[in-house]
Amino acid sequence: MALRLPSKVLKHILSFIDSNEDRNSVSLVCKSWFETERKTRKRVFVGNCYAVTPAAVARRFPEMRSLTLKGKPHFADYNLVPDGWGGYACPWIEAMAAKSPSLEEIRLKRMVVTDECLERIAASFKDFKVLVLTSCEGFSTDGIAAIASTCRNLRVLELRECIVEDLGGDWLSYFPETSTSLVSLDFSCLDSEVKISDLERLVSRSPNLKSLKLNPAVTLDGLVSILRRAPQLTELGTGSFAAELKPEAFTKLSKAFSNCKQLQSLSGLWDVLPEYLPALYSVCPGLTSLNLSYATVRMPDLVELLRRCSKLQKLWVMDLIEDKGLEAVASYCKELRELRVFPSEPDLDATNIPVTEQGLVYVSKGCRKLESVLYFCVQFTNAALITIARKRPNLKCFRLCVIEPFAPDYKTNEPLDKGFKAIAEGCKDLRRLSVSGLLSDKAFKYIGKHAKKVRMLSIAFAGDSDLMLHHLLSGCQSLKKLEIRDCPFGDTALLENAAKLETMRSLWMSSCFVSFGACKLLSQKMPRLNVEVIDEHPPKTRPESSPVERIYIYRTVAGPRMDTPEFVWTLHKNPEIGVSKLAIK
Amino acid sequence: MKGCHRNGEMAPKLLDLMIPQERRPWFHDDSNSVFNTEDKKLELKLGPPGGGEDEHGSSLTRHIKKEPKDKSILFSPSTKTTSHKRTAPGPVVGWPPVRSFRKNLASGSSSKLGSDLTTSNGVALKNQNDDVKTVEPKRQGGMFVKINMYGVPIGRKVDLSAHDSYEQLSFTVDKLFRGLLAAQRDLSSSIEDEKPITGLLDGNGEYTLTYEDNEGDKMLVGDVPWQMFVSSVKRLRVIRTAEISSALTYGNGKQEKMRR
Repeated sequence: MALRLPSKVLKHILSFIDSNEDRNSVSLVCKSWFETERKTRKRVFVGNCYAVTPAAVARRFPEMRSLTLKGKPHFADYNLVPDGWGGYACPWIEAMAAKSPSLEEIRLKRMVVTDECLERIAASFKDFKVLVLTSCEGFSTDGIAAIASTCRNLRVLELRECIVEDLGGDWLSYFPETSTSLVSLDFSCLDSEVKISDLERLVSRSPNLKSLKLNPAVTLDGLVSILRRAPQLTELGTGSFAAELKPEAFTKLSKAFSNCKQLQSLSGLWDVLPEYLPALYSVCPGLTSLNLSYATVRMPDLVELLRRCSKLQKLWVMDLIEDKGLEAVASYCKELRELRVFPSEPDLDATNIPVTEQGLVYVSKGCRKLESVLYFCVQFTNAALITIARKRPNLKCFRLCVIEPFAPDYKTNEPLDKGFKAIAEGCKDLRRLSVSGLLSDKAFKYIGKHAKKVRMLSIAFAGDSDLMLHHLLSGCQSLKKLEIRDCPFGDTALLENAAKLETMRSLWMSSCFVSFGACKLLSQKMPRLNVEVIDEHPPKTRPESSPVERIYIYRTVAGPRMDTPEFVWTLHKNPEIGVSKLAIK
Repeated sequence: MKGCHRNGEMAPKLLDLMIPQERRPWFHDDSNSVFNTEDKKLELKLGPPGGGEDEHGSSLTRHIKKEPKDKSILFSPSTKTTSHKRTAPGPVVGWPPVRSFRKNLASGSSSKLGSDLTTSNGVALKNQNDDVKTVEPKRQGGMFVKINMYGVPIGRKVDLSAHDSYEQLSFTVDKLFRGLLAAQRDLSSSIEDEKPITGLLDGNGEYTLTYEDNEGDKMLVGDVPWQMFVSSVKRLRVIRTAEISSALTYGNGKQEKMRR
């Protein structure tokens, strides 16, 4: 007689398992484990909002308290996905309002959220606590006001890099005088000025406030007054740092910062004048995260600040830091785990990008804990990549953007194949990789073979032929998201490796040579994929062999979606429907 | 009708139509696969496919490469076969991959910094109002200028601070463009076919080095003292010697210098 684990015991065990990947594995063991797991899952993550219907999710997880959803493909961040593509939050909110009224947390990324949607959230979930919107759009400050006024126990309200119709700063005044529960507030992406007195009062009555990110409209005076009322902050996003240089202003600012003894994370710093940076010196020794990516400050001033940040783990900075500044980072910031260097002139013709491959090599050599890199520069060498791979085999995320497309190793004129081979082979835990520069099919052979744990891969202007895609789709065991633009492959590799696509979350291809005919065939043969063709011109009016501008393929159990705009075609599964009149021999 | 059958499936006629040169059955034996992955069965299946080592990949490159005929061409057909000859089109959507709010910020603040505040090699000046503003930071270590060559679609960049004479610069130009130029001319170029680029400075070669200075004038390289050249050069251009006169008079060339 088989021994069975009583569901009560399993339930208890599951209460220690938070990782959804583990829980997914648990639910595959047998039906009763599936049942027990689904009834105990509180945090639900849906990586593609079109992979499953809202109703199915609500039905499966009755105890859901937290829902995270992602909508548009990542390349939407770079304007490659036309407006109106989709990613609407409303159907999800409607379904949850009906079936999961105990929902407390909603996190949305790259989705379209309307004011009605926000009002629905405010009205439907009695104990709503957390709203985080990242790279979302479609709503106005009225919707935010609805959340502020109605959610009595709101703890977290974060608008990260959203596009919001800004109707003024009134929304802040909608937090009732009785609301004291706020732990985190981020309105850094809003334009309008809020009334500083409203903000002061809100901050004063929120003893649990730990994270506050202001928008650029908040002045230095405002910042000082806020800091005085919230010295317990651990995360601060300043407002605009520009103001007249008066000695009293500087002293007040300095003092305000020195009272914030628990500050670990600092961001904002728009328009910061180098003369004001010393006001931050008192908090530097405690900082673990510093976002200077909006600070147009020269290298010497940056170094003066950074040499005091010995505990820094995360640094986002502009290329104004120069190689020399990165050399300083390598010697002072020994705890560094994540580095992002953004271009100050993000332009194909920029001739003065002040960082080179050497800067990244310095940091790779000096910062032993470095595991995540995003680096923009003009050119690179294989030797530098090989050094980086050798020094930092612990890299988990490596995103290199050589801004000039097809730029070879500038010292040897060779493709960067060898360099990325070293990265793929050496960094065995690599989960995310973005490649750039001149790359032949060989580079992708190496990546396909060695990058066993890479889940997300981004490629642009690379490769020679279908082989490149074949290498990736037949290798890369853990690949979940692949996004490719402007590469010269066609249909063959895609069709040969169709089965791989069901093991992945999504595949984005734009400006490649995949034909409409191939898309149709793929769609017909693969019932559990949605093959979306994004093209201004109806594909039916052109020959089947003509290439399609943009293709987005994702696995789904929800079938083709019903909310596509006129420029998106989800190819029908039934070969009789949606097939052109081409004679078939 | 071509194609083999497996599991009673019909051969994919669409695939045949798409790649008319070869037989491309949808389901087929491994031995027929152009990718020739021995262990992998090319069946549709769930679960991760094995990573088959693809022994014959490189020799098959030509085999499966397609020349797109009626497609909007990103890569011009003649430049498709070797890796040195790609061209990126002009302004490219979504490249470099930077969020738009970062782009606005950068240009917003650099317009404050502005090129009118600096000379071409980065000496910073205060603006009229004596406002204390951050001035445009230039590389302390390098002085990169763009250089283009007639007949080569890809521009390169030269670090002038790493040179101290015209001869050295001429040598660098040869190094940078020799291979690219040979590749442009002949698809099957090899190292032996590459001609050195000489006579850039004295009008004797097929090509001549010119530059554009900070006033927008186009000049021959080599006439002024090296340091003066470095402090005024904005970009470099390698033109055909036969076209010197037209190249220099085009635009607002105030000084027309002609040799020979």
